[in-house]
Amino acid sequence: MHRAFIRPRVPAAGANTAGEIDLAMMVLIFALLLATIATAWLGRRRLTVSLFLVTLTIAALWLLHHATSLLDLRL
Amino acid sequence: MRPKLHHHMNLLRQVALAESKPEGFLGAQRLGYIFTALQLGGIAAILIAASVLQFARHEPPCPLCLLQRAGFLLASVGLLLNLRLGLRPGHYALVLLGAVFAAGVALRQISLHALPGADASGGAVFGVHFYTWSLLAAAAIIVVTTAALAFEGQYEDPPPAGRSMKLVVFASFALLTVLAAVNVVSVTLECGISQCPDNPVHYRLLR
Repeated sequence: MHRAFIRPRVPAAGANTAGEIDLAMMVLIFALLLATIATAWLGRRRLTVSLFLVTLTIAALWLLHHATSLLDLRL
Repeated sequence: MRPKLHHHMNLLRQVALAESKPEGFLGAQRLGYIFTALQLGGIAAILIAASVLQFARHEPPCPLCLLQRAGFLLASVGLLLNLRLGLRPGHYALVLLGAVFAAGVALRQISLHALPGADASGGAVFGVHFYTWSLLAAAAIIVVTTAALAFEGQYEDPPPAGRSMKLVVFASFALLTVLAAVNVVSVTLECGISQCPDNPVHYRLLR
């Protein structure tokens, strides 16, 4: 198994269950990116910047989730 | 009467300003657009290479690889805004944010594989793995963008509206739109409507 992507251990009762997120976050990130490029094409600067920041925040949270679940951290 | 006079004065000032600042072959604005176009070309080349290798080797990308692609696409948004709406420090800021994110993800992946005894992931070019190339590319974007920010003259002039400029803008948007769309389809096929597999070996929706 790829060492980098070992599934997090099942958390104890009452523990943070962030490692069990089961959403299509990556699909959402790329769909938002496509929408951001489309709004840039339309010349809508504010909407583009807003979509950019939303996408970046989701992607950064996903990275944080990946890092913490691998290390079995409880944040 | 007074607003009309003000308008004429403004026009005269603009003409005097244009005459006092002859735009050389490598003026600040031209340099800004060259930096922007070169970086967009580089990002497009990275994303095309990633997609070609993905389909040629039948290797669905790992989650961290996907996040690096997202980082490069994020960086391209600022460059596209530069082309579409003119050069602005705010657009360069978006480029830097995207590149810093891509570099962060690449560093994260390097930290998982660089230790002695740890297995490397994916292929290598000239002995350097893709995630390390990704870090180098993101670092290059950060350096070039920071240098491009320093040319103050580029923000003063209105963006050029020539036919070749329109062609460059259209081609850039079309290319990046296609690349983003390819990734949306690829990620949907790979992950489906759930979390992406940790170690993907096939496309979930194609089984």
